[in-house]
Amino acid sequence: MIIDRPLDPSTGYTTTQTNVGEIKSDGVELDATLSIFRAKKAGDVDWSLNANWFTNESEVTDLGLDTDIVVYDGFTNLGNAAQVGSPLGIIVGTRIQRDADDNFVVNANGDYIDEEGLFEIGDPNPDWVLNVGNSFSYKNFNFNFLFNYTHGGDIYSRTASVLIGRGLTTDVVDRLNTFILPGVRADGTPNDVQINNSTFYFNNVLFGPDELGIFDASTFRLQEVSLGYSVPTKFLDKTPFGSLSFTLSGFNLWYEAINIPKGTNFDPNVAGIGIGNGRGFDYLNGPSSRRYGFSVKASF
Amino acid sequence: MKKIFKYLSIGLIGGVIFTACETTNLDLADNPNALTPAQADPDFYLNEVQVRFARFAESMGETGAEVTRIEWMGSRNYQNAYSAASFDGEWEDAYQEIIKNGRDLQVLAADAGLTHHTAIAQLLEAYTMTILVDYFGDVPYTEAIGGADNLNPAADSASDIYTAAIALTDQAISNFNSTALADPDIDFYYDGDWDAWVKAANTLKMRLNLNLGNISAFNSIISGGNYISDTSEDFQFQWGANQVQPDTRHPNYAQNYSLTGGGDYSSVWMMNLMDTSDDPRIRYYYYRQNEGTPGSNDINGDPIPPNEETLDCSLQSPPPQYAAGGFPFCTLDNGYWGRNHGNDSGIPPDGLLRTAVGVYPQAGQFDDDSFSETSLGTGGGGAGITPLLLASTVDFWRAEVAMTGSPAAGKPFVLAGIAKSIAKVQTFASVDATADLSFEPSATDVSDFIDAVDTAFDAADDEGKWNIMAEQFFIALKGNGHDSFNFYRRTGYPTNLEPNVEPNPGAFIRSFFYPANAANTNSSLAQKSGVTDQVFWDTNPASPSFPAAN
Repeated sequence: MIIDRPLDPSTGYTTTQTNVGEIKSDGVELDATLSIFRAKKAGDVDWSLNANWFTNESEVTDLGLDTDIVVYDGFTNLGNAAQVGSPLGIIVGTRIQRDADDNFVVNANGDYIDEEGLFEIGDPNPDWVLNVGNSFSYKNFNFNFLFNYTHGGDIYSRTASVLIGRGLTTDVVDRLNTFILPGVRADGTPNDVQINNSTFYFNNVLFGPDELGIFDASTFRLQEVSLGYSVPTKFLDKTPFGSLSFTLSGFNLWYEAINIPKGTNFDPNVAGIGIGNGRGFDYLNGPSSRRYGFSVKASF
Repeated sequence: MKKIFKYLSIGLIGGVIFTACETTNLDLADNPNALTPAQADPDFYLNEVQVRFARFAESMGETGAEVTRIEWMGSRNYQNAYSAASFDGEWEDAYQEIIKNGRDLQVLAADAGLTHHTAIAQLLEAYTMTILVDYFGDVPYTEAIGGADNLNPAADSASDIYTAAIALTDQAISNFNSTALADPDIDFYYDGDWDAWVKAANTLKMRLNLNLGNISAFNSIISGGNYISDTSEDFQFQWGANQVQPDTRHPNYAQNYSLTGGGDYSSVWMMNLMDTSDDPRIRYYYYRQNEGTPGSNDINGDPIPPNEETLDCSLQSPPPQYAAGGFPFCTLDNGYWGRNHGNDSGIPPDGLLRTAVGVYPQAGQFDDDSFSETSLGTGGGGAGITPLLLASTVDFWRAEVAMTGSPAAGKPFVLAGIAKSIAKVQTFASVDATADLSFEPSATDVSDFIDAVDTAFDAADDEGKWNIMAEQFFIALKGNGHDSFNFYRRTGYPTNLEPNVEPNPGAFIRSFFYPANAANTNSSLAQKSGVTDQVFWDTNPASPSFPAAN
């Protein structure tokens, strides 16, 4: 993979194109079809379900460069990186400061302290993906749908962070609650500073360490539904048409991102840093759309 | 038909063979679609170096001013106040635009005998490196600008960089003194006055020696007499008033004079200090957009009720450290509307209400009690200056040197510095052509002010004398806080500086995080764990016991 490797400007330059050395990738894909009814002749009930499941785990084994990490998409301090020993494309950014015993460290106000640097804070690659397709036909009607479940995969979502950080969703409606963030103070004693709802979401989730802006992107999705009707050929004899069919379809009709705050109704299926190798970022991008279609197919 | 196929295939095979025989050079190091450095114009290179240097120094100076309360800092926690990524642009300007371009320029200049081009590039490189050292500590230098030969330049020790910078400044001086075959087309700083450049170079060496504690070297430059001693010799960058293509306005003006009003807040500490001491520069430094601030008295002495929408802290009681120290909190009389150090509240709709930057040094509006709203292009249109090395600054340095022996001995230098600063600032009234200049302070106002400082200085104890000196130094430094940040870390004065609104803001910043684009990409440069690492010349006690006001 040829990428733009960002350089320290003190070299006199800011990027160089380079080839990421070696990536190891292991994956499994399973495909199964269940025929519930099989049509003996045209026009009978025909109904089958098809399931496809796959998983893929990549690992960067060698960059072939004089560095262990290259951030190749996004921002140099928050982006997708190739790091030796980690999956390709991990999200790196600032994290909550840890002490020597790996406890979170809070400041005097009870807010988490940012630890500057490039820490692995998420992996945008899903653990596994399941697709279930249905196809049903009877006489001249057919009915199909495609159902999708993506398990795992992280997203750095500003849409979700901004909505909850600025108190604009029902997820943060309980304003009387107070929080004591789990962690220790700089001197090692347990944190005992109470902060309010607004401070937690605004100072920590929205404007705190990047790590707290990461959400799990696991999603159930009804990807596609279609209902079709083909006009029987006997009606077409006296017309110029050879065949004629009508299809009513809908795309992305329903989704449920199970681990994203409900009130935000955020769909993690966005590419926040544009077309390229980047993945797992959302910067208040336009939401995904639900589309309906009606198509007429005719042949002469 | 068969024959045609035969011929076609012979032709194809032949074509493939002949193409394959051709040799193509794939090792192109220079972009064939762009100018190579060797083809570039030395004058254009020099323009770029000069302008980038001004932006870099302005931006770093703003940060220095923010931490020392000359300007407003909007974070309750020093550790998180300036993220690593916030310096990415400056770092790139410093190395790629100033030093890399400057060195490419020197190659061309050496061939053509353009010694004055070389001199400017050398001096600005030395100046840039010392700014980086003062803010970040150890940074790459000898291994820097290696290109593909060294993609991970290691940091040099900061004291070695200082030594190299002084040597480079000396080289620059000898080049300024030489006869060049041709002079630069455009010299944004001194318009081709090479003697003035030599003075600026010597003055830079004074600053470095002062940081190093090398007082004898400092004094020998003084006795040599060839340094910036008169305001006409000030080292500063002159901005223009062009809004687009290119935007030549003072960056701070561009930020604050827009259709939606101010983009930044003024420092409550600074405005209060100047307003309560009748400082004649206040009308030049600040432009009030309204007559009164919620929670205080307006210019007529009538109270203005607090307002939750436009100034939420006007309804709050001051935090304990403000109450105990008697520092003005949130709101000031006479329409001065700014923010305390560390106030990180959200931004209310007050862009056309808050106090804007004035005619000095950003070339905004002169405050003539008109209390109108600022807008795009009003006042001086942004044709202001970024001060770098001023004659008044030199006086305050000399005051510091004198006061280290005996605090009382600094007074003549302090008073001289104030006088030079006021005189310089007063020349800016004419920059705002629409202002009613009858509001300018009279000569008596100025002399009364200087006399008042004189009296207060005599009456104060040693710490008080230092504080008065430091306050006056900071006021004179409006527009570039590099020296205030250095001074504050060298001496710890003023000890009565306004604290952070947060009772526990953490320890004061002694050096900043390395920029993210350096620490994250350079495997030889490890990010710091915090902001309390001291730069090599800062031999004072560790934070938080020093500086006293944190």
